[in-house]
Amino acid sequence: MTGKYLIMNKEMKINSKPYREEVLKWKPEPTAGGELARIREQAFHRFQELGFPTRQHEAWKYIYLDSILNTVYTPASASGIETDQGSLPSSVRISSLESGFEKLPHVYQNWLKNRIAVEENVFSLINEFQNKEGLLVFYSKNMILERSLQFSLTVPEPSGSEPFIFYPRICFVLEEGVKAEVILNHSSFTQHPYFMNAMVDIYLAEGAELRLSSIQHGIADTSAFMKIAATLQKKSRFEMISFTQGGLTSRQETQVDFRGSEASCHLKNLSVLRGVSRFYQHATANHYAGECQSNQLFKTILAGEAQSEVNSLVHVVRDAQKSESRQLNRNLILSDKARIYSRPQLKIYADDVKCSHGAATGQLDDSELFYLRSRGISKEQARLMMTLAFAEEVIQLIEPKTLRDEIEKIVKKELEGIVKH
Amino acid sequence: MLVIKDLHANVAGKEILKGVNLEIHAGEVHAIMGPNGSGKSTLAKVLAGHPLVEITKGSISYEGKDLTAFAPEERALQGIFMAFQYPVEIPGVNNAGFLRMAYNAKRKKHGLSELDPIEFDNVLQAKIKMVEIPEQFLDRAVNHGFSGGEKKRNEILQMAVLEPKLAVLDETDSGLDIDALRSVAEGVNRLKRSDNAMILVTHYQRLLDYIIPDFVHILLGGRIVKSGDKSLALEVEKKGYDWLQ
Repeated sequence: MTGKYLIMNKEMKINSKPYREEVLKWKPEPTAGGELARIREQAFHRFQELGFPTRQHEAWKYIYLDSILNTVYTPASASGIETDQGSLPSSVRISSLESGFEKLPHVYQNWLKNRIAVEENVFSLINEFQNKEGLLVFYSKNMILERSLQFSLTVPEPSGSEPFIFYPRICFVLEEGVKAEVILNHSSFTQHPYFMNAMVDIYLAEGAELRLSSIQHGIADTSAFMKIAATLQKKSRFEMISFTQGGLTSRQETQVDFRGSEASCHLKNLSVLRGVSRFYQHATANHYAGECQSNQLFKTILAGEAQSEVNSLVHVVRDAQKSESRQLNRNLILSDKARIYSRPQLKIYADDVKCSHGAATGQLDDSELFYLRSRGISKEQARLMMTLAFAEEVIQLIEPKTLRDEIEKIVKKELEGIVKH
Repeated sequence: MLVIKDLHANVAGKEILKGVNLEIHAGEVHAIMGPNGSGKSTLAKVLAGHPLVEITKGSISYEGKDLTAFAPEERALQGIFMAFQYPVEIPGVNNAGFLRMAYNAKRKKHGLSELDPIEFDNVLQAKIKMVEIPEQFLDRAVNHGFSGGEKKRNEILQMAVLEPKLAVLDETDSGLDIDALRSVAEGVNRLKRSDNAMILVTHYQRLLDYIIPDFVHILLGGRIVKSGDKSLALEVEKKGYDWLQ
């Protein structure tokens, strides 16, 4: 058995090329037809046009891509999404993207086609033609689902030690007036190296509201990319709270397109990074319609030799009057070797807007530290209290409470490990 | 309890204390008065172990031990408490949680078990009555958004909870209106016992109308130039500090 297994592995290796070459070999399935197949081809062509980014690209300036592009990955057999929802009301349908897409009303099909036609993120394009069993989650008009739907981004560990790759793909469509909560959980606890390249699309029709919690933790020798693209129609509301911890090279990109007036988005992230973790965070709010509000609060705690980038852009087009935005990035650096690139940016072409941005990076405040110590609290305990207090601002916003408590526990444990050094 | 001998200390490379001598016994209340820049706050800070104050000469002995060898938290655990002139705001850290943490650190030091939030609340309820502090103080972040008077009261609450042997009140009267001053002083008086001592660092005599000192010391140019009883404070109030120079 063992011998046979080894031979199989060897053959696979011979057939595989480094990622940068392997993805170019993509061919459409001969039997594939329909709109989704056309979208995949469109994505592949756009990827060929754009090519892999280099450090000349602003959005890829700090990330070290060679470690991914030069790796030979074995494709995982599964889609990478697990969901156990129990019974759902008939107005919430989870289907494969493959089968569900063709049945979607044209308005949603066109939305996805148009978005991908101008996609700039090459890895999202790759996901588009590489993903195998994407999910479509469709909420019919005025559906109010009290409980959160949870999706785990993970695959069974393959045998052997080769790094593997998987492409989770989820598309959420919320029709008019829907209110929903979703948890995306990427926690694998495997030592096996892998690359996750995930793509999440969200469409919020008029008055729809989505609260998305995205959790990434317990991952070690991993590269994890995720793009979340949300299209917001009139009076819709998108709230996203993400927590990131760990990963060798992680990149999270959030793109919010306001397509109708009086919509709002609230993006919050807490990252706790240590060791040699690298986390690159990009957020773009495109105010294509007026009277919309976008808020961002990104907080990072860095220890060890961790590095992070917070690159957030608010873009207001010429006619998007009465746009409002707030960008705030606060970073706490606990070691001399940790590093953060904080780059809040504004591109404003309208004249009647209220946009503010701020960034602050620092260490623990000495006077606060002395104050706590002067009351008999040890230096270590005081550092922990202050660091935890920094994180709480985001943690306290996490819903539901079970998730909040879980994250709080993870953060506490992680920070205890950090302040001891 | 406390013996300071020929203490010299620098702040940011500048000599502020230039040979302070002071002896304090249990049961005593000492007032330290002096104009701005005379070194009053530096003397308070040096006792609490503030990292920006550097001792260059002299000694501080507390209960027979060299105090300067102890880290700030160790001094607190040994019974020293400084009420800050400018209490620090710590956003995100809950006041009751902070008080419990400090209280438990002391219990642990004495080999006692730590109290959970419910057990500690019983302790706290008695203390807030004693120092007449509204209960809402406890649910807020430490000093965050507190008014000047509220911050000073919060210091006294901490003092009540920690029951120090030696309390150093650094200009606790500054920034208080007369009602707040009276209420803070009453709180302090209730904490006075025969087995503890207090050092009141103050600018004005008015605090001493409410907390009667056993000794008054005048600090000028980094040295104690005159010591006496409470009548010295009244004399200074009338004549200023110039005649002492």
